[in-house]
Amino acid sequence: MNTQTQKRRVAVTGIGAITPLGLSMQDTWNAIIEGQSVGAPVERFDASQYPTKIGYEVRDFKLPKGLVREREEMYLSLAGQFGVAAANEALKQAGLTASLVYQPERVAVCLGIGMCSPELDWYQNVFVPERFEDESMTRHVRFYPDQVSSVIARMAGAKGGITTIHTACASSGQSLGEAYELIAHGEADVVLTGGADSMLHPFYLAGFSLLGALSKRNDSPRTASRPFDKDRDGFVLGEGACMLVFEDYEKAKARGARIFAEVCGYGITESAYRITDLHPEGTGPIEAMQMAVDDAGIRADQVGYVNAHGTSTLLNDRIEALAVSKVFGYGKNTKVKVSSTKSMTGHMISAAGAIEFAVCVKALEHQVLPPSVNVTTKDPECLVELTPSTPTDCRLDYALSNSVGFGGSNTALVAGRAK
Amino acid sequence: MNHEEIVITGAAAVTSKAIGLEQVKQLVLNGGQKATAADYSLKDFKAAPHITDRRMLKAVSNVDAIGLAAIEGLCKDIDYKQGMFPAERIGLYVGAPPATAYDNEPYMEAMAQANDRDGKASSGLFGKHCMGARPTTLLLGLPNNVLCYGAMILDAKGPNSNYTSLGLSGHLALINAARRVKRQNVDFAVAGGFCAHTEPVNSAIFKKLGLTDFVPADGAAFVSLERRDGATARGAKVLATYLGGATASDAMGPMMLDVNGEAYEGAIRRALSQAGIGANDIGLVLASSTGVTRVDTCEFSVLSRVFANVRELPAVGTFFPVLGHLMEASGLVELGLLSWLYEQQELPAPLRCQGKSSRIDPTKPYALLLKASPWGEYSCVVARKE
Repeated sequence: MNTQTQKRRVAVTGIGAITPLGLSMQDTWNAIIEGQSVGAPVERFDASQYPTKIGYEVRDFKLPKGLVREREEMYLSLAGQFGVAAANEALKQAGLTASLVYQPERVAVCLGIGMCSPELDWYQNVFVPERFEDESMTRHVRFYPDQVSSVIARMAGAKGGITTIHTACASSGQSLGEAYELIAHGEADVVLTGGADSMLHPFYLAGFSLLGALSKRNDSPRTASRPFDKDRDGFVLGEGACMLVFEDYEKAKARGARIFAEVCGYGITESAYRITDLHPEGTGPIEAMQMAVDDAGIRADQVGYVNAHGTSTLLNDRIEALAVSKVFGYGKNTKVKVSSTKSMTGHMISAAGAIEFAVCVKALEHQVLPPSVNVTTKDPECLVELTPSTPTDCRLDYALSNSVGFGGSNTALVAGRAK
Repeated sequence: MNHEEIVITGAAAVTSKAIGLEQVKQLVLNGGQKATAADYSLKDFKAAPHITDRRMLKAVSNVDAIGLAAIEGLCKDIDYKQGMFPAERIGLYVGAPPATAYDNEPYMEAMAQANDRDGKASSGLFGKHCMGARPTTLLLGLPNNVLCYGAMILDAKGPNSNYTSLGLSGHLALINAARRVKRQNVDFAVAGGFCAHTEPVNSAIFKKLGLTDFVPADGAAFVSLERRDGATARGAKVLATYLGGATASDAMGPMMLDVNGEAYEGAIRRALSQAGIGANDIGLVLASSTGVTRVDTCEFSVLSRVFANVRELPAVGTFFPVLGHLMEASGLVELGLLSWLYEQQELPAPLRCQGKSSRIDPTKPYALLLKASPWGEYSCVVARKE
């Protein structure tokens, strides 16, 4: 039994993104609709000695001058810089930068922030006392994820509390869900939410390689991330950030804000199974999706599009597809179309849930199904109806975004067309 | 009694000198004042007696083992058995330290061989040498390991989260777990945090940040939360009642703090409002009192305003001198010991704050549990003794 009385409606009034596909949400969305994939050999560091040498890097990014204070910039890891740039775009779009229309204590920040590791030489210096003494203190705090949230709270003038979450690949899906609940239950009027991450770092390229989770299609980086394809062989690391402004729907309407979509439902579960694997029956994601649909007060057949977590690993895609089919049906019994935009963005880890929810919002706004890219032959064991390989106009009232993370956290978020 | 109230039905702690609430009580009564980070270290913590699953023990780092030992300690404290509650009706909320990676031995072993001819770190050489490490190297450093393995221990399949907000993380876990219990999304929730900040690199970083008076500690603390009607029905002991919680930020950016503490004061007033009580009802304040001058100055300035119109000021104390700063695990042991502190009628000497009242007025059964960070982030929890 849940207490659902007097839940407030929640609007999306701003989106910002820094992704491998573009340095704004609009550029990212345009690239997604065009079916672009920008996987390429890693350039940021020498990856020649790693089994996987490819990734989805954010290229040509520079933190805009004056966006943050000089000292703050030094505190920010690369992921943090992506985060504040995306937050700036989202706040501007929502019209919340110049002067706050809300009381600061009713504005909160809730973010999923990944591993903000400093450069390799910091680790080299840290165990050598004389080098450590010479290190400026700013690099030491870059791996505190809360730095990013703190800068963004300052930018948003948010005095209503800061929450920083890390549940691996589910981090930002969960941060969006918690942000939605803060507003729905009257604890905040506005929440700046989203995620930022960059695991394109020697430690994590090595770590995921050792786990055997990454694609080794080094000769074909653009097609290496191929969720639901029969010949997929692992995921490809991406990076970036996506930030959204969630706002009390009625208050947003009253101030004349543009509403891109409504956040309608949230589901959150733990698989309590294994650190890296989903339960073979899909339990965990099934309950999260069902919970989100129930929370939205709709039927499963009202959902027209699912943006799957779809990592392009053998087991994740198969089990997630099974879970989707159990909630939404399969074949003739379903109207829902599924895609994974990780084929185009790579796996943005702690930022994945946020960008994928933002894609759902754009799909609802434009009434377009994002294309399925890099699927040459669909895996017959993946029981989902994929979106076509080109963008398709459709009547879309609700879309659902799935996130599942190492550690067993599963989230699902339902977005609804703005009415 | 309100049957919809949220009650604390169990608590567990793992610290350098005390494991379990009874040992913490003894530590408090014996007045064991500590001075350095080494006194609060759990570097040589032997997790084996505390963690039942041997495979789990092998899969986690020392800091994760500290956290899991506290969850197992909580299970023992409340005689928890899987199946007591439906798995999907159990929530788990954890405050975890950030991933640092410098405590990941296989990575650091590869780093040691990653210098190029000029003595600079080479990512290519690092990659080459790291490929000989064990497959699960990455997993040693996941910040949500305790959430995952804790969920397995409890068979907790309901709502969950893992907070990496440094010193506020434990309170965030508690406040969010309480929200889920209140909304009846779960029947039973476990909330807490764990950390290991005494190791040399981290201690040096705190010093570099200017936090010289701040004594970090290693440890973990977890509590269990239920609705009173459920707890009563199953005959559970009740340690305290959770009545409200709020967080706030100065919104001034990293390492910046508003010494006037307006946002901090706002969090306290919101928490009091949620609890439906006023400052005059408070008999005990367990302050954050971190030892960082500007934070403590801010905190006591805020308290003087909150209690400005109160005739007799409440007792003000802190666990900081006894336990050190437990960071992600802080602000939780206090809940488990609240009723015991009231029984003492006066704050035991090691918990007292200089110049503040130590007499606990038994007619004022409400307490404030505070957290303040040098980052200008604050939380306040209001609880009532049982």
